[in-house]
Amino acid sequence: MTEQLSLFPQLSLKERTDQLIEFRWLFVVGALIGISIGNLVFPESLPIPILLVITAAMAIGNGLLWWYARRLAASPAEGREARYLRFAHVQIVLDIVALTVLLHFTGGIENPLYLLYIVYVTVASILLARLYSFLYAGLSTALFSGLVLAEYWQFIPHVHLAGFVSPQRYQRGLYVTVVLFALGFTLFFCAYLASSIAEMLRRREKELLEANLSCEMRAGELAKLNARLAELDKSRSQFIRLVTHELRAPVAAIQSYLRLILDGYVPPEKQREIIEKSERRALEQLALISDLLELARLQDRRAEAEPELVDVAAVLRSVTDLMQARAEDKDLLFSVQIEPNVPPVRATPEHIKQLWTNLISNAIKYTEPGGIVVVTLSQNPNYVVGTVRDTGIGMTPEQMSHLFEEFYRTEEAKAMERQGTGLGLAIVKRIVESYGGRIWVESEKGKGSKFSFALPKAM
Amino acid sequence: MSKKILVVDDDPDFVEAMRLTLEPHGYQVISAASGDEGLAKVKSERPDLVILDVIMSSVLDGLQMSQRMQENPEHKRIPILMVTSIANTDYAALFPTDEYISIDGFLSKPVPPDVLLKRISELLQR
Repeated sequence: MTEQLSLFPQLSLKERTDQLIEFRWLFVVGALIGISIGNLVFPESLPIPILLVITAAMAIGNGLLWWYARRLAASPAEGREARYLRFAHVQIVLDIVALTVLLHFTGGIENPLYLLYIVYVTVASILLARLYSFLYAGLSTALFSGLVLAEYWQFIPHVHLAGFVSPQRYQRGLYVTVVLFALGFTLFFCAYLASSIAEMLRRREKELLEANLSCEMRAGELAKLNARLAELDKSRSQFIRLVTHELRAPVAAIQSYLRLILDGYVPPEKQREIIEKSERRALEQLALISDLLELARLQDRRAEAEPELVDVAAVLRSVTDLMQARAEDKDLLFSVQIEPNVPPVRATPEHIKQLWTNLISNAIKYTEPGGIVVVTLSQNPNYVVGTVRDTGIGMTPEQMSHLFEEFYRTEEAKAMERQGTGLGLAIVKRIVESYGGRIWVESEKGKGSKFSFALPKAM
Repeated sequence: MSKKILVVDDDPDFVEAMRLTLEPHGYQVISAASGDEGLAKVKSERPDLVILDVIMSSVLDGLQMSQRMQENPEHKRIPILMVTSIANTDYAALFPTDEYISIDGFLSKPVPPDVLLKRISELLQR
């Protein structure tokens, strides 16, 4: 669409200049017919050889213009419009001059065909800017006045059309003055009218094109928006299906176990084990439900407490003891490095606590005994930056791309730690993003992972 | 000779429940935690029946595994019992038509032991 728009003015100028050349062929044919008829009507009056030479010159000239037009069409697009414009000017000037010369040899002021000037002024008004239509009205008037006055003062010979009008008409000052004045007035009036109409049409055309363009743009935007909504809707149903599955699975397992015990499928010595397994599933279900609630609360921010200034370092220190204990249970080296004077962020303290807890307990969970977990907190000009690095199981790039999706857990993570809702990182991502921050992960399979988050400093 | 049943599910508690239900009735129960593992066991163990979970988070889930089994003429005749914990009304959307996946039965978790045993003996008698 945009391409078509930018092409449009050139195309129309090209079409119109091509039309000028076509009309000129008609004019040449018309001139030849006119000369023959004129010769019959006014025998001996017209200088036939000169007229034929002029007509032939016009034909040759038009051939050259036609050849040039073809070259223009094939010329590089850059600046083509300007070249077409110049070409139009040249043609109109040549036409006006040619008409004046023809008029001189066909009776000057006696020949009513000086009305043809109106045609050229009209063409100029349609093709070119308004200023030029007045310029060509002026040029036509000037050239014809020059011709008529030169004949009047006998600087150049006058061709008399015998038996048409009185021989002395071109010598009558009053008549010459009135005709010239009338023609000049008509030409300027014509230039004014034609260029007004042309300008109005051009404006309409532009408005129409713009309206078209904006319609199409709006339609495109709507289509894009629609696709985005459809995508959202799809991922939402997918989410609901997953949630349903995840919520039903533990209850189904518990119910199966209970039914088996009730129906006597489980030998007495095995019953305690089965009841313990049921309880574990029940606890898993509780954890899942609270994670889901947390996720929903994060989505609905209106229900939330006003964010306050939170000292991220203090929150990190408050969870360190618990995490240290868990790390020691697993025989991990746990270290926390907090840069001094880290400024506060605007958030809910519970969210920041959850952020640290989820990231650090993940690192501890997925690192083999003997490994290392390092937590750092620092700042850059605009953000408070936290990192949690481990020497754990790590991930492939493919796994990393799904990592923050709800319920996503890598096979390796599941093999290592049966428990887990698959919602922890989704919650973390939502917390960070809800405060205008960003979270990202670097990882190498088998080597370890590094989670980093950046939260904007409170102003 | 006892019939061999392959249970494919990533939930070990479900596998355990199946084991508790089936073994007292003389079935030999083997298990797999993913579609890939299940397909490998179908080849190596040649079970008489497969119990398949529809949604598993592995690369190859229950649906894809059943499709793979259809593609292999040797495994095409092994009856498949689909079991899932998604609600009944949902599963219709998961199956384009029965032509693509010819499963032999569909049960919703939790499966009552007597219902399960009845379906299995029906399928094995065919």
